[in-house]
Parts: sequence; C-alpha cells; structure tokens
Amino acid sequence: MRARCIFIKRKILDHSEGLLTDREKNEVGKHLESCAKCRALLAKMEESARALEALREFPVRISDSFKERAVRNITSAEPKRRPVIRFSPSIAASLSAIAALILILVILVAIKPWGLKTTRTQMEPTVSQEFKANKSTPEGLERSGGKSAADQTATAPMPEKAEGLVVPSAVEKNANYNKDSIRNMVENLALRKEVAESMTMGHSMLYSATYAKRLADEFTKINEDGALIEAMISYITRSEPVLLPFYGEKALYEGRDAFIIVFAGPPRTGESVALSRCEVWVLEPSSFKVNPDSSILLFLEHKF
Amino acid sequence: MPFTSGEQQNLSDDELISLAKSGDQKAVEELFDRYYKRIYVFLYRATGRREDAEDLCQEAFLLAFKNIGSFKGKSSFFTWVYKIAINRFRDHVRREKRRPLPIKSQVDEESFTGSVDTRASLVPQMSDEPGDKVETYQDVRKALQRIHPKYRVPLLLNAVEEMPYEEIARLLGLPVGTVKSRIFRARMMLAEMMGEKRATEKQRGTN
Repeated sequence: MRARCIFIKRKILDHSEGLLTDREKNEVGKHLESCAKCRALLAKMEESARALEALREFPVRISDSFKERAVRNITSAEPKRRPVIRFSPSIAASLSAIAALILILVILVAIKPWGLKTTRTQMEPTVSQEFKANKSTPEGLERSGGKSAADQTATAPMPEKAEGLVVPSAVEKNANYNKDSIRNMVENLALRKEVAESMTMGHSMLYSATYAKRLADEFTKINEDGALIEAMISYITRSEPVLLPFYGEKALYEGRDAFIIVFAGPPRTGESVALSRCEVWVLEPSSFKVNPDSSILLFLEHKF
Repeated sequence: MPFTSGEQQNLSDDELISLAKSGDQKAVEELFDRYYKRIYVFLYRATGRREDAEDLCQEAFLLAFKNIGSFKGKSSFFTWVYKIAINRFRDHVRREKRRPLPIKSQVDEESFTGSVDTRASLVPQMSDEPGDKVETYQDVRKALQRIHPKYRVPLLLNAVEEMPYEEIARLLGLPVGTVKSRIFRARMMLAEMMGEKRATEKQRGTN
C-alpha cells in the first residue's frame, strides 16, 4: 500500500489540475477509495485550489499613474551604449574600419600604464573593473607610502548627463552614533533633500558606480582608504543596483570606528507626495564588516 | 505624456527590439506597454505590496532596456524580462531578510519585515464584493507571504499565471520534477494555513 501512496502522491497534483489520462484517473480514484491518508492529501489539494481561485478572482489594480511614471523613468535612463560596428557594403570601408580598430587597440596598449586612471574616468565603470582596480590598490597603497599617492588624486568626474544631481561628500566627524542619533543625522541632512528632489530611478541605476567612486574619492581626500570603501559599497550595491551612495562619514558607531554610508533609493511617487528612501549602512573598516545595525531604512516624505 | 502611436503597435517584438537597440524610445514604450501588466501582477502577488511591485517592475524593465544590446533573442522578450523580474524579486527577498526591524520614520510606518501590508490604500478596491470573499482573498494573500519564496514563485507562476510546468522550469532554471514538487509542497502549505485559519474562526464562532 505504501508504494501505491507514493505513486498517488506524485499524481495528485496532476489530478487536481485535470492532467491525468483516463486510466491514471481510474487508478487514483480506486486508491483514494481505500486510503484515508491519500484522501486527506486530495482534500488539501482541493483546499489550496479554492484558495488560489479566490486569489485569481480579484484583479490586481495597477495605479493609474504607474505606467506614466515608469515610462518616464525608463526612457530617461540612457541605454548602455555598446560600440556598434556597422558593416559597410563596400569591402574598402570594412577594411578601413578594421584598420581604425587596430589603431585604437595599439593606442590602448600604449597607454596601459595609466589603465587604472582610464577606468576611473569612464562614465560607467563595471563592477568587475572596479574590483580589479580595488584589489590592487589597498596593499599597493600601503607599500607605496599611503593614501597621498599620486594615483589617488584622480577623481571620478560627475556625469554630464546628471546635471542637477548632487555631488557626493564625505566628512570626518567627532561623533559617537547610535541607531537613534544616526537617524536624526540623516533626517536633517541637507544633501538628502537635494538628492530626493533631483534623482530618478534611471539616475540611480546609471550612476551608482560613479557615485561609489566619487564618494570613495571624497574619503581619500580626508585621508581614508577610498579603495576599501569603494569595495565595500560595491558589495552593498551589487544586490541593489538602484542605490546611490551620496554621503559618507567617518565617525564612531557605538564606540567603534566606522564609515557611515548613506544611500538614496529611487523615490516612490504617490498621489501627492513622494517617499524618498534612504538606507544607512555602518561599515567597520577594521574587520571589513557590515554592522548588523546597518541598512537602517528610512522612508522620508518629500513633497513635490 | 504621449504614448505609442499606432505605428509601433503594429510592429513585432523583434522589430521593436531592434528599434530599441538603436535608442528608439517609442519602441521601448511599446515593449513596456505590452508586458508590464503581467509582470506587475506577478510581482504584486509575490511581494504582497504595491510599492515593492512598482519598484521591482520598473527596475526589471530598466535593467532589460539598459542591457538590450545583449539580448540575443534566444527566448522571447517577455521571458527575458520575466527572468530579470524574478531575479530582482530574489534579490529583494534576500535584502528584506538582512534588514533589521525598522526604525520608526517620520511619516510612513510601513513594516519592512516582509509581512503583508494591511493598510487600506494597498488593498484593491472591492467594496462591491461580498465580505466573505474579500476575507478569503486577504487570507490567501497573507498565507502566500508566509510560504518561502522558493516555493511561492513556482506556485504563483503555475496557479496565477497558468504557466505549464515546462515553461516554469525553463524560467527558473530548474528540472521539471523539482518545479512540480515545489508546487506540490507550496499547495500543501497553503492548504494547511487556510485550514488552520478556518479552524480558529470556527472555534471563535462556537465560543
């Protein structure tokens, strides 16, 4: 009987979906007559079928303004431009294109020693590029005498497209935060209001990496290890590509050295107000650790 | 905002995709318009919250269009965006888990622990529906949120989207057998929760 039950168990999902052949249906039916356990199983399947039916019956209402908002956000973000090589109908043109490519390659090879700087100035560095850059910097910096190395003077340019977007900043503060005081700090942050007014989801997705670099540069300016901070930020934004790190502090958190990074999330637009999301992450540089109190999430109202 | 003209509506997905690749925003709009509702509905039922569904839906399309250059047409555009949406949902769940209890914010006292939002504004308007049905609907929504996303996603794809097992398997990158057993387990869990709920209500009724 037990083997039979396992067989029925396998078939019972199909049975409730009406996917069984007549022969199988007969078999299952016969077994059910004699097995209370399997009957209970079938009853459960029917119960869940009713529940799901109830779910299907209610149409999901989509906010009237959602489509418009979403389209605005989506089309305002520039698509990632990939170099498109168009094959010209004439062979001569193709050849000249190849020649041009070779020339570019040669130039790239020639300027390789400045490769790191080149990636820093790109509009949209990829995560892997960032990590490559970072991996080599922390130890390299220590060996070459610290953070004042010439390499660190290159700052990531703010994207031209992001006119009106705030420039990230980092400061060192003589403060010892806890959960409450950190919240107060963020709520009163003037920069937060500026970000809330200017950013869109498209911005945050496009410029997240650029902001991470720029904020890391700001930390470097106050003699902190920018590369380490950038790597930690990349760790956070990898699973949430729409967070924009725009403000950082070097301070104490419950007595321990910490970097406090404030991220802005894309605003949620309601009928008359927008909620601008802020996430605060407390990073502990000594152990490359994210404080468990991190991702303190604040939804702050922002009237348009 | 002017939406797509009739011209775009007559184009096939493939034609729209090549236009979108060359930066045609009307084509992007039309593609969004064709598929956002289904993806939104899935995300709403998966997250149980309107705001999350809106965010994730936008993010999925934004990511899709940002990377449209790498879309090779091996699957349909819809499947591709759907996959991105499911991945975004998985990331979302991972992040929600990491979040500690929320600190009360100035205005919005929303809960971030992944529980169902019961605020009236988030509940679909259905004043003309009989009370019982509304209650069952709300119970199912709440119960779904208690089912692990691993089981919840295939269940929703199967039961609400009415996707065949094979398509779900392709979408989630799982063997068909695994998909079926997850749906089975999800339905068992759902039934148990609904049964429990009814039992407690009965008890309350007799007291």
